Amino acid sequence: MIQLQGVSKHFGPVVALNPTDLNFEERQTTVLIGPSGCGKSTILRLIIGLLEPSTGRIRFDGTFIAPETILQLRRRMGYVIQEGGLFPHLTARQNILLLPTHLGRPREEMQSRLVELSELARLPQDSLSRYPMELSGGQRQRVSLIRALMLKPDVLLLDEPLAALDPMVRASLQTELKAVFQHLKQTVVLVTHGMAEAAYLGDKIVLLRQGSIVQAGTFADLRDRPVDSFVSEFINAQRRLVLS
Amino acid sequence: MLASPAGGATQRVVVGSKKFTESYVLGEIAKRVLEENGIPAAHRQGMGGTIILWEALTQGAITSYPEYTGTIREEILKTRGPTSLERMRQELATRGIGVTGELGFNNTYALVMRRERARRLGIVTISDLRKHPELVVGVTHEFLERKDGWKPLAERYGLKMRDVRGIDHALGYVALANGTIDLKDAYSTDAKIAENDLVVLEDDLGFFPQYHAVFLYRLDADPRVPAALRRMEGTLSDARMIQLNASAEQTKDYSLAASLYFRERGTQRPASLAANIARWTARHLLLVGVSLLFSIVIGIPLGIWASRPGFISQLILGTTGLVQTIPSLALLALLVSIPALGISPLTAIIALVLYGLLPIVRNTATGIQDIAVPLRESAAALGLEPRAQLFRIFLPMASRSILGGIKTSAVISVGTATLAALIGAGGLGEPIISGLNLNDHATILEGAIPAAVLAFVVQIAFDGLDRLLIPKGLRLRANRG
Repeated sequence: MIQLQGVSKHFGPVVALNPTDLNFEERQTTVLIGPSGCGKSTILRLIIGLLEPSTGRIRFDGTFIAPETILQLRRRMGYVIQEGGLFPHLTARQNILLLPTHLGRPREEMQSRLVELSELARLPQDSLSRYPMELSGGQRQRVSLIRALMLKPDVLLLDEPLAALDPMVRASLQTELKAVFQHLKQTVVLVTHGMAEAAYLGDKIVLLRQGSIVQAGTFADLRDRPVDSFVSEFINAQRRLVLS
Repeated sequence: MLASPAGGATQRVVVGSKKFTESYVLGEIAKRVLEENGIPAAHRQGMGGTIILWEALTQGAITSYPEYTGTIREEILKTRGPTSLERMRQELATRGIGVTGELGFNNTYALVMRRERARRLGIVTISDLRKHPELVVGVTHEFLERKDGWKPLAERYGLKMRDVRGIDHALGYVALANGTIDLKDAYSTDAKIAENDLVVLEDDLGFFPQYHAVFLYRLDADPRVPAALRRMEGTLSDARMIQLNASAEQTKDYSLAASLYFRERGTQRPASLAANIARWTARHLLLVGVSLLFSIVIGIPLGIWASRPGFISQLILGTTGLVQTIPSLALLALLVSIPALGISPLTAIIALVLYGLLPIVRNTATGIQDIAVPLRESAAALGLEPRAQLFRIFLPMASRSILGGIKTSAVISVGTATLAALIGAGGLGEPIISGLNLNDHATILEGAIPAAVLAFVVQIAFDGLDRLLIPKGLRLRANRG
C-alpha cells in the first residue's frame, strides 16, 4: 500500500529520520513505536505530506507523493492527531461532513455512513450537534476518528490518538479501535509510545530509535527474538511499569 | 475650473469672495441673483484677500467678486486722493474689468459708542465729542497708527481725549459693553454693532475714506452678468448689511443670511439645529461607511497576505503601521498636495481608508497566525485546497479578531472623519471647525457631542454584530473535556 524508499528527513543539522525503507501492508495495522524523537511521527507526517522528505520517495498505492499529487492522495487518507484536530467553529457533525460536503458527496450516503460509524465508534447521536468545546476528550477523539473514516480511506493514519486521554477512556477506546479496524478491514498506521497498546492493536510493530528502525516484526518477534538489548529493554521497561 | 483660461461667454459664471463674513454674504447674494436671472453660477467662498481675488478676476478664474471703492482706489489702482466711481470705471475698463454702481452701504471705519451712553451725553456726530475730553478711547493698535486712524482724526476734529489706549478688536467690544471704555473704532457694517446695541457716530466732516461696496466683473463675461449684478445697486443700506452680517455670524449659514436679502420674495426657512445635526450626521456616516467598506475590502486580503511569514508580511504591516503614525492632519495635508486629489471628499475618504487599514490588516494577520499549528495541519491533512482552508477554516476561526479590527477601524474613523470638514467634505467636523475658528463652544459641541455619541453607537452596533457573525463554537468558554 505505502512504500518508503530511502526516505530521510533532517531539519538543518538535526536528523529526524535516517534513510529508511519501509512497507505498510494492506489491511494490516502497523504500529510505529519508540522513545520521543525517534522519528515515528515524522514518518506519518511525511506520508500525509505535512513534511517533504530530504531524500528518497514515498509511493502511495502506485503514485509517488509529490506537491502535485498530495491533495488527491490526502483525500484517500484519514488522519487523527492527539488532540483530535477538530475545528472549534464547527459542530461535531459539521466537522465530520466538512470534506464530504466540500467534495459534493451524496447527502443520503454520507448520512447513513455517519450513522454507521457513530454506532461503530459508540458516539452518542446527541453529541453530533455539539461544538468541540462541549465534548469530552474521548468524544472528541471518536468524532475525529469518524471524520477520518467518512470517505472510506485507503489508509488511516493515527498519531498518538489516545495519549491525551485518561486511562479508563483510553482502555475502552483501544477496544473500540480494534473492533473498528477489524470490521472495516482497514489499513492502519498507528504511532504510539505505549508497548501494551502496540501489542494489542498492531499486526506489525516497527521499533525506532534516533531516526532509524531497530527492529520490525510481530510483538512475538520483538519479545522473543530481540535484535539487540535496546529492544528487550524497551519492551521490559514498559512491562515493569505495568506490573509495578 | 480654477485653471481655465480667461474669457468665453459660454463659461460657467464663478463668483469669488474674500475671507470675511460680509464678503461671503455678498458672494452668496450675487450667486442667487445670477441664478434667478437664469445664469448658472458657483460661489468660491473665502478665497483670500484683495490681491488673490483681483488676480483670480483678471486671470479669469472667477467672473466677479464684491469689492469696496476705497480698496479699488488705494490697493488696486493705487491712486491718491478722492476719485469718482466714474474715473475708476474708466481706469478699470483698460484692464478688462467692469464695476457696478454702489450697492448702498459704506463699510468704512467708524467710531462707535453704547447707544444709551451716547444719548445721555447727547452725542450724535464725531464733532460732538469735542465737548467730552473725559471719554475713554480704546481703539485697535492698527487704528492708532493708521494714516486714516486716530491721530489724524483727532487733529481734524480737534479732539483732546486724555485717555487713549490700544486694545484688541474683539476685547474692545467687551470693554465697551462693561464700560471700561466709552469709544471704539469699528467697521461701519460690523455685526457687533447691532449685537451690542451700539451707535455709529456720524462722520460730519467726511474724514473717513468711502468704502462703498460694488461688484467687479470681467468685461468679457456674458452681458447678462453685469445686468443681473446691477439689480443689486442701491439695495443694501448700512442697517440692512449689518443685519445680514449679524445673521450670518449667528447661524454660521451664509446662504441663509443671503436669503434674508430676498425675504420680500419669500425665503427658505432657516434649518433647525436638529435638521443640521441630522444632515451632518448623515454625511458623517456616509464618509465613515464608504471609507470603512474600502478599508475592509483592501485590509482583509492584505491581512491574509501578511499572515504568511516572510518579507512581504513585514512590508505590509510596516507600511500600514507607518501610515498610522502620521498625524491625521498631516496625512490630509499630504494628500491635498497631490494635484489629482486636492480639496475634495475623495481626498478625505482616501485619508480615512488609509487610516482605517492598520487595525484591519493587523487583526486579520494575527487572527490567522494565532490559529494553533495542529489545527492548521489538520485543515491541510484533511485534503482541503488552500482556498477552502482559508474560507472554511482560517477566516471563520479568525473572525473574532478580524471583527475586532473592523470595530477599532470604525471607531477611529468616526473620530478622524471630523477632520474631513477641513477640506470641505462636510460631516460633524463642520460645526466643530467653525466653532474652533470663532471660539464658539456651543457650535463646537453641536458637532462634538453627536460625534462622540456616534462612536459609542458604532461600538455597540459592532458588539451586536459579534454575536451575529462570530461562529457560536468560538464563543463557548466551557470545556468539559
